[in-house]
Amino acid sequence: MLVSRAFQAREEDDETKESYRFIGCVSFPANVRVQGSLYGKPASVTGLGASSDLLLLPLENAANPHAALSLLENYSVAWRAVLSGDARVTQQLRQNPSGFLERLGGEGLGVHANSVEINSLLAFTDPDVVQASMSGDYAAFLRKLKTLNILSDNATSLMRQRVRQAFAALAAVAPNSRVSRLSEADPGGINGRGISNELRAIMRGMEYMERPEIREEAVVVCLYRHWGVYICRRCESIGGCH
Amino acid sequence: MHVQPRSLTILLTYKCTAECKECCFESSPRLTHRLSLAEITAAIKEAHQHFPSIKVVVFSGGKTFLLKDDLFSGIAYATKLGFLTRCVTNGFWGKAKHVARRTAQRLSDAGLSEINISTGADHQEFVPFSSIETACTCLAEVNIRTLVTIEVDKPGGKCMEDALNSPIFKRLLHDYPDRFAVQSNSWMPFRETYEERKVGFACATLYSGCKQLLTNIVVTPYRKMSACCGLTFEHIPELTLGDLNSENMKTLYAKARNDFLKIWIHTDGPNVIMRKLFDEEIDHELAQFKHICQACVILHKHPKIRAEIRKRYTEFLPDVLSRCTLRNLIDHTIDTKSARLSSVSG
Repeated sequence: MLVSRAFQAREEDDETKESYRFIGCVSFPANVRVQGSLYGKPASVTGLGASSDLLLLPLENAANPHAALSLLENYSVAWRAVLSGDARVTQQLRQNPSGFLERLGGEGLGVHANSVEINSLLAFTDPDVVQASMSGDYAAFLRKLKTLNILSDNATSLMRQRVRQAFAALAAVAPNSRVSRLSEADPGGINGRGISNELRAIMRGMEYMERPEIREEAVVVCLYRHWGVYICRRCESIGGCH
Repeated sequence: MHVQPRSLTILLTYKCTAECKECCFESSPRLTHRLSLAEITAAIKEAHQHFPSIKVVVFSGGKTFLLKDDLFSGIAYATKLGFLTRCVTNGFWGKAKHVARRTAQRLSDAGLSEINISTGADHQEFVPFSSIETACTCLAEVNIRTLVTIEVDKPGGKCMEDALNSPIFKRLLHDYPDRFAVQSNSWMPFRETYEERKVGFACATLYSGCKQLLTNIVVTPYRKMSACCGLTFEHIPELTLGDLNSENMKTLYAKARNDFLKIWIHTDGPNVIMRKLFDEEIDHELAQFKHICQACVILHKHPKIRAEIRKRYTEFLPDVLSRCTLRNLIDHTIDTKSARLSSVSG
């Protein structure tokens, strides 16, 4: 039976109530319940849709890392275009890589033609990479990316640096932020096991472990590395453990 | 965040000839609001103009078939614009075979892609299972993909057992394995008189992100737009984004995407959020939830939880926003790959 009845009983005993701090979660205090409805009258009946005390958290009021968000969003526009497999996109990217990124949203990123951001995008226009990805040949996919120096630990990503800076600024504003307690994981090198461990941690954190159709793991690893997403030192998942 | 809506749900009316005890909208014959055909097509047209990511239009309610010709016209219009279409019904129109056959044919002519029929203990107080069997038979005849959703049974109840033992259902499952399916869904309490049900499958999704919020655009019979079509959305004022009489869909959707709480629920789900805020102190309560929408209404309404969210949400911003962005890009990558594989194999 619902906890509501237990709650009602406990509500009558103030001393007991405090020791069950959250017992009201499953059913609300009496002033919220209406005529037997546990959560009040729905707007489908009342026709009302607004109230004076809405729990809304607008991003612009949230001291959030606007710069980081903007970079993430813009960079993902470029990735989407490349991953679409559109031949015109491939041609544009190859002809003028820096211009392509700026035009598709990387404006302000200031990446140079030989940057890891550009090289990563170019790698995903390589027919061998695309073929390996499409056929699900994960090992060949990783080998090819390694050959193209995409998964090198020495590659310095400007994107990653800027995202980290922006997040660090937020951590300063919100000192209790989880970010302040996180650090980047050691990917364990570029050998298969290192990538595999890193990949597992990422996928677990993102609840993707059970999805067999995922064959784009290396894409995830690339993006993760470039974006500088933080990994929890304790369990090695992306903040998902908290 | 690159979250994009994938479906448009049009709630044609909350009116219903039935009055199920635990109906999330408290639908009944007394609720008379409905959308006109002009309002239905305007919503579809606007979604088509502003959201190329939307692939499917869902017609639901209330009793959708009370709109008669306007329902068929709405489906035909959405089909004409290239959308897949789905209709949700309790199958009451299956009472007489000749009516059921005519209805199924009209749905087919309008281009309906699939239909969901809701039934179970509460529904069957108003619509007998025999009507469902007839409706399903006629839908199969016109090749409409049909999913029958059965409320999770009360202890001792056997709606699902009856359905699976039905000779008609057995035949349909055998003859149309790719077009006919039966599933059980979860049932959650709305009233204090709620009778406990068996454990439903939805429990498995309690600790994941919400698949509805931000990915579905909902138009209500009052011509309001909502950010989700979950069971409790009409109990949560924060999910109503505004009035389509005064603002357009694009503006209202942008409002939703600018709300960190919605992004957080989309990414982690309400249970995980509450667990993060209160640690193990709340475990006993979380264990009672039957459905993610139940957790969502509690998260939005409980004073203690609201206060804690307001006080501490900035702690979680970077982590949540990063994961949300990355996850949506991965989803896009998978979609792209699937589409490319389909085109290659096709």
